[in-house]
Amino acid sequence: MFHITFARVGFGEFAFVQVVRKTGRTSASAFLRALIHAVPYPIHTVVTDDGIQFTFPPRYADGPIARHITHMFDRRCRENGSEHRLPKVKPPLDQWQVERMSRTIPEATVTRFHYDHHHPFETHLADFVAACNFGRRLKIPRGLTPYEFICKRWTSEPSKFILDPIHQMPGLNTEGAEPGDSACRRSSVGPRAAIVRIGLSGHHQRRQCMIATRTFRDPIIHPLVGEGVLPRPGGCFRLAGNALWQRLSYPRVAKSKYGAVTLLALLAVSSAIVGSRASAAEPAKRVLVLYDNNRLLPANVLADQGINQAISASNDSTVVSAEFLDAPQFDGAPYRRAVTTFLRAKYAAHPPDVIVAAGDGALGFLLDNRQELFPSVPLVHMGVDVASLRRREPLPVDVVGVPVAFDFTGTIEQALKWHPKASRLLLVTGSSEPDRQWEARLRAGAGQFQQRVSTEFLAGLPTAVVLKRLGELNDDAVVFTPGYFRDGSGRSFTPREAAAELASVSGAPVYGPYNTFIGAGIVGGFMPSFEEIGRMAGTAVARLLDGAAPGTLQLPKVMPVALNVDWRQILRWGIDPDRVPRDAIVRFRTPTFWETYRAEAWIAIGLFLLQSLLVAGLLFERRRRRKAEAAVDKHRFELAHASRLATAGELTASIAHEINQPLGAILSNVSAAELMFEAGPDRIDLEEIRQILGDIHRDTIRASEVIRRLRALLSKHDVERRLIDLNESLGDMAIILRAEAQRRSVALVVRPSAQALEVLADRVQVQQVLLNLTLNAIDAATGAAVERRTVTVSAAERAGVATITVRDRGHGIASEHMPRLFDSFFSTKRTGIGLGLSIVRTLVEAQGGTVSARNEPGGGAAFEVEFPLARAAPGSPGERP
Amino acid sequence: MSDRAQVHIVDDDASLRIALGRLLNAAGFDVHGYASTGEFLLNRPDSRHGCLLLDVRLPGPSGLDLHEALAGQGIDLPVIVMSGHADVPSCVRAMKAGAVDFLEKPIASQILLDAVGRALALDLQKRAVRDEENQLGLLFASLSPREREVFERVVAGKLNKQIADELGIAERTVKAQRAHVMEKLGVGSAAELGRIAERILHGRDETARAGDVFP
Repeated sequence: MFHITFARVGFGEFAFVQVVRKTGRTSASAFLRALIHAVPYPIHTVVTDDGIQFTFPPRYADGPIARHITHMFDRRCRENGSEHRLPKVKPPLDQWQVERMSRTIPEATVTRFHYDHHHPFETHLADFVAACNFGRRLKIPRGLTPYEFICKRWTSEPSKFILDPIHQMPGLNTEGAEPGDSACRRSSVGPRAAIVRIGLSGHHQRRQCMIATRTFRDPIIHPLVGEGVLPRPGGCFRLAGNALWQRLSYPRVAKSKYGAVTLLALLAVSSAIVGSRASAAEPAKRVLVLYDNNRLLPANVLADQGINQAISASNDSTVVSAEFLDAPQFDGAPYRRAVTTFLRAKYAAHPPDVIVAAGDGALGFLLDNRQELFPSVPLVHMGVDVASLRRREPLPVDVVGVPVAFDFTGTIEQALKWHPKASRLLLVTGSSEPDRQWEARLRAGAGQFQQRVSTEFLAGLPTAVVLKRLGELNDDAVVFTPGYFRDGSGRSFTPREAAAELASVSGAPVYGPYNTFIGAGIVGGFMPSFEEIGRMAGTAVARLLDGAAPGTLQLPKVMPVALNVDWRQILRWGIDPDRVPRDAIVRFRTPTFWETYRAEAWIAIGLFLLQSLLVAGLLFERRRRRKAEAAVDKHRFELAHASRLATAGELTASIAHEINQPLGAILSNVSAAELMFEAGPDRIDLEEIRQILGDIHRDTIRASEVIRRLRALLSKHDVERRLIDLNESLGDMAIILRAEAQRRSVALVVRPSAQALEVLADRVQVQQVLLNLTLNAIDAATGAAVERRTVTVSAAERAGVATITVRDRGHGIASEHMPRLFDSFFSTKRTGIGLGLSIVRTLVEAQGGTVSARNEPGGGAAFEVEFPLARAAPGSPGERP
Repeated sequence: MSDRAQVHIVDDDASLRIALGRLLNAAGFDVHGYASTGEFLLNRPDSRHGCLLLDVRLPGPSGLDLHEALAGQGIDLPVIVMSGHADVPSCVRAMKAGAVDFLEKPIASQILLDAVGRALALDLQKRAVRDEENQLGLLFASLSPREREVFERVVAGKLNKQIADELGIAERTVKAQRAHVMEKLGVGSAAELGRIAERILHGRDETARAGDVFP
C-alpha cells in the first residue's frame, strides 16, 4: 500500500508532504514525528480530524478503551509537549456527507495528472510543495514567500526557534534520499507559536483521499487535493484546490494569539498500486518474442499488439522484447549462426523467462539452436501452421502453443459459392521458399475443385505479368492468393502488399487466407486473427511466468478461424449481402444512417411529432379564435342593426312627416282633379290636370325614395364592401335627418366635397356612422341657444384620406369624458345607453378608418371620421367602374 | 272673386301647398299659400271671410307659435291645424289655442272640406256677431250725453223719479229722454233695453281691447 500525506503550514501556507505506505495509527504517529523533526520550532498544538488514526472513534468514547488506553497519536503529542485538538464537527460527518463533499468538489478546480509510475508522481508532488513553500508570493505577509516570512521571523525572534531555518533552504541539503520519502524533507519552519493540524481522511472508506486547502488558489501552482486511487499506469491522480477544509469547520485559530503560523497535515490514502510491485524485491520477468519475418509485416504487428496486451494485463512490469529473423529476405546457415551468437550475447545479462516463437521459421530456428541459446527456458510458439508443426513432432514438453490452420480450401469453397458463374480459378503464388510451400499446399488442395472450375496457377511469375493476366480477367473467374514474399523477378513484398497490388488491378474478385489482407482489396476468406494468436500466446506466457507448468496449460488444439469479409468488396462484386453468413466478421461496412444516427433520428422524429402537435394545436386554436371572432363580428353587426332600428325609432316623427307630406300632396291633388271632373267637363283645365299628374308623379317618387332609403338603412344585410361615394352617403343622411333637424329647430348644413370621395366600405355602415354622429350633434345643438343651433356636416379630401367632419355649436365635450367617449355604455345623455359612439368606432374601424373627437375653439364639438380613399390619385381615369 | 271665401294655407312643403290649394280652389275657395309663418305675417290677409290652414312643422317659428300669436296680431281667422305626425302635446296645444280642427296628413279631401266648411261657418258666425255689435255701437253713439246718462240709469233699474232726482232734472224730462233713447235704439220695453245695454257694454269692452282694428 501507498499513501500520501500533506501538511499545510503557516497561515496554511506551508505544506509538508509525506508519502507513506499505509494509513493507520503507526503512520500517523510516524508522520507527526517526522513533522516535529522537520519543523524548526516547538509545536504546542496539533489539530487533527477525528479519524481513527488520530483518536478513538466516537463509539469508544465512553468505553474501557478510551478510559484505560491512550491513543498512539496522543502519546506522540504528549511526548512532544503538544496539545492535541480535534475538530468540533458536530455532528461528525458521516460517510454519506463525506461522499457528498468529494462529489461537490467542482470538476473545474480539479486538474488531473497521469503518472505511469510513482516516481514521477512523487517528483511532481515534491516540486509542487517546494513551489508552494519557496516560490509562491503570499498576500499576507505582503510579497514574501512562506519560507522568507519564516526566516524573517527568525531574525527578529530567534528565541522561538529551535534551529536556524536558513538550514532548510531548498537544495542539496534538503534532498530526500529515500525514494518513498523524498518530500518529507521539504519541511517547513515558522514561529514558535505554531499549531499543527493533521487531517487524516483514511477512515472515510471509499473516497479515501480528499485533501483540500483553501489558500492554494494560485493558478500557477497546482491546487492541492489528492483524490482517489493512485494510478496504475494510465490511471490518474487528481489535485484540486478546494474548500473542504472550510467545510469541515475546524475551529479557527486566532492569528494574534498563536502568531502567523498554522499547519495542516492531511493524510491521504490510496490503494492498488503498481509501484509497490515495481519496487518489490522480486525482479521483473522478461519475455523474448522472436518473429520469423520482418518487423513491419502486418501479421507481426498485430500479433505483437496481442501478445503485449495479454502480458501487461496480467502483469505490467513484465518486460517484453522482440527480435525478428527477417525471413525470407535473410536466410542461410551463416546468418542463423550470427543471429544465434547475437541473441546469446544480447540476452546474457537478462535472460528471458519465456520465449515466444512467432512463425514456423522462428520455431525451427529456436528448436535448432535451443541448446546454444536458452536451453531450459520454456518456449511458446504462435502462428505455426498445423501441417508444419506436425512435421516437427514430437516437440519437447516445454514447447507449447496453439497452431494455426490457414483454411485455403474453405476460402476457395466460399468464393465459388459466392460466384456460382465462375468457371476459372486462378491461384497466385510467389517464388520464395515459404511461397513455394504455399503453392504446394494449394496444388494439393486444388484438385477437389477441378470438376467445377478450371484451375490455373500463376506461380513464381513476375508481378507485372501477373498483373497483366489479372487485369484481363472478367467476372467468370475467381482469384485466390496467399500473397507472396518474392515474385518471379526477385522483387520482395509483404504478402499484404502483394495481395493489395493484385486486387487493385484484378478484373475478378480476389480472396486470401490472412486477416491482414482485409482492407487491401480482397473480398475475404476464412482466417484466424493474428491479434488473437498473439493474445493467446501472451496468455500462455503469462501463465508460464506465474509458475504454471507447460504441460498443464490446456491450450486449444488449433486457432479458430472465422469468415472475414470486406463489405466494400462484397458490394463491389455484387455478392448478395444475404448470403454473407451472420457470424462473419464484416469490416468496412458503413453503418446505415439508421445505425449511425438512431438516437438523433428518434429525437428528430420526436421533435417533429411534437412540432406537428404544436402546429395542430395552434391551428385548432386559430380556428377557435376565428370562430369567436366571427361570432363577435356577428354580434357587433347585430348590435349595429339594433342601433339602427333604435335610431329609426327616434326618427319616427320625422320619417312620418317625410312620408306623409308627399302622400298628403298626392291625395289632395287627386281630390282636386276629382272635384274638377265633378264640376263638369267644360270646367276641366287640361293644363291643370297635366300639372296635377306631374306633381303626383313627383310626390310618389319622393315618398318611395324615403321609404327606400329607410329600408336600405334598416334591413339586415350582409356586410359588403364596395366603392361608394361619401358625398352620396352624406346626401342620404341629410334626407333622413333633415326633417328631424327641422323638428328640433336645428339647422342642418351639409357640405359635400367638390369631387367624389370614393372609399371602399359598406354603404349602410357608413351611413349609420354619419347618422349616429349627426344625431348626436343635433342632440347637442338642441340644448344650445337658438342662434347656435347649427350642425355642419362637411366632407373633404386630405392627402389620400377622405374626412367627414360633424360639427355642432353646443356645449362641447367635457375633458374628463374625452378618454371614455368611445367606450361602450358610456353616455352623458339622460336616456342614452352609451352604444352610439362605441358602434361608430367599431364600424369605422371595420372599414379601415379612424374616428376622433375634439372640441372646437369657438365652442361645440367636432367628430372627425377618416376613411382611406380607394383610388390612388384623385381623378385618375379608368378608376371608376 | 271677393264673394268667395278665402283659405290661407301655411305649409313649407310646396308640393303639398300647391296640391291643397288646387283642391280648395276646385272646391270654390279663394286660396292663398304661404311657405312660412313670416311670409304669412308679411302678407296679412284682408278682413274678408276666410280661414287658415296651418302646418305644425315649419321652418322658423312653428305653426302653433303662429296660431298662438294670431290674436295678438289682431287676426281673427279660424285656424285648422295640420300635422304630418300628430303627437299629443302639439294636438293639445293647438286645441287650447282654439283651433277649429286638428287634421293629420294625408288629409282626405272630404274631411278637409268639412273642416274648412266648419271653419268658414264659424267665421261667418263670428262675423255676424261682430257686425251686430258694430251696429249697436253705432246706435249707442247716436245718443246725446244726457240720453246716455239716462240710459245707464234706466238699465241700472232706477225709477224715473230717482233719475230725475239724481240728474237734477224734471221727471217729465226724464220720461221724454227715455222715450228718445228707446226710439233711437229701436226697442219697445225697458227689458229689451236692458238686453241691448248688456251687449253694448260687452261690445264696448271688446272695442276697447281691439281699438286700432276697429277704431
